[in-house]
Amino acid sequence: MTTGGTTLLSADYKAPGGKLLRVRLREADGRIESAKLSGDFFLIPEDSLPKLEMMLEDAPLRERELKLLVDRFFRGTNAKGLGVAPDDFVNAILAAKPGETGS
Amino acid sequence: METWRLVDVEYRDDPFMNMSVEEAIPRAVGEGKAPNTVRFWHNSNTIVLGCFQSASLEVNFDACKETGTTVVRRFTGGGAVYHDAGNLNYAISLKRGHPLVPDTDLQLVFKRLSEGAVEGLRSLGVKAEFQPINDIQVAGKKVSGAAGSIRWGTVFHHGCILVASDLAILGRVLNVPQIKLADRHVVSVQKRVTTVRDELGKNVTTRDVRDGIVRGIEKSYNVRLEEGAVTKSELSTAKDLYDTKYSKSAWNLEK
Repeated sequence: MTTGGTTLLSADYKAPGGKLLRVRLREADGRIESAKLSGDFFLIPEDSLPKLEMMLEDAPLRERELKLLVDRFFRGTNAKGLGVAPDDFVNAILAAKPGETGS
Repeated sequence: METWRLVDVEYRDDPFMNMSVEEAIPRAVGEGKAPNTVRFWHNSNTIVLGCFQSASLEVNFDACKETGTTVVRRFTGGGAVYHDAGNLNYAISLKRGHPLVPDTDLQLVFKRLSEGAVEGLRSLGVKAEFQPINDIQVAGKKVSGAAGSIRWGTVFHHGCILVASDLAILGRVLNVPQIKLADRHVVSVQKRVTTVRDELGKNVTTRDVRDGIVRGIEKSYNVRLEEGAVTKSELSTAKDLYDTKYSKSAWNLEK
């Protein structure tokens, strides 16, 4: 769905052997305008997730950059996931890209 | 032998206050204002969302309206669950560093702190087994789900046990994504859950299950549970949490 140059993207991604990650993105010109991450995973500390969503703002929707960003988030916050690994966040976001499979 | 506090404090018709107490207790335990605690409680028709879940994606609000189901969000992760009077909730709060769960591995917390409930269910004749990540299953069907956290200086674990819940309402009020059902090779949420009543083939009360789990916890962890009450300080914290967080749609619905 596109509105005024911004595309709304979504994906539901099931981590292998783990939990569900649901991604809702606003994307323009290959960059993330805003990201909402939800799902039935565990992440400690719980209040770290909004930080990841903020870090994703203005990030390019490309695997290499997203991987670096997500790794930086986990290193910087000492956050620990259960039912989701750092790569699952990357894969879930990429699954929202047009032409990718995920939902 | 170590003694833990046992409280049955509940607000059956006020899920927001139930959730406020659920947070007030681990906060008090972590601050050293309350002993290690096991709580049992009930909610009337309520969806309890995990803290990372989107209400608009997970909840069928039309079905909630038709069935008088309230929606509240908890402070722990994991998936949405449906509570009614046939559902028993339990919560364990241990001061961080307790030898039972000494580190920060949430998977270990779920495994270790599910053992009391598993033992309690087995003592009633239910062939319950812990199933990672956070379920208790009987022959592949979920009878209980757990969630937890390590925060406020506390290792916290809570779970709900489907004793005699109305699975038909459960199937209506929650939107279960197709990708999740497909992954488990089943066609509906109703077909992958069971109740203690159905497993035993007879009527059983949540009190029977509560008593079984009390014995299960005492046996599994070699502790004695002593009946007590929440303190004035815990209630005061709960009332603050009610006013500022759990009664607010900003917390419950806007993720």
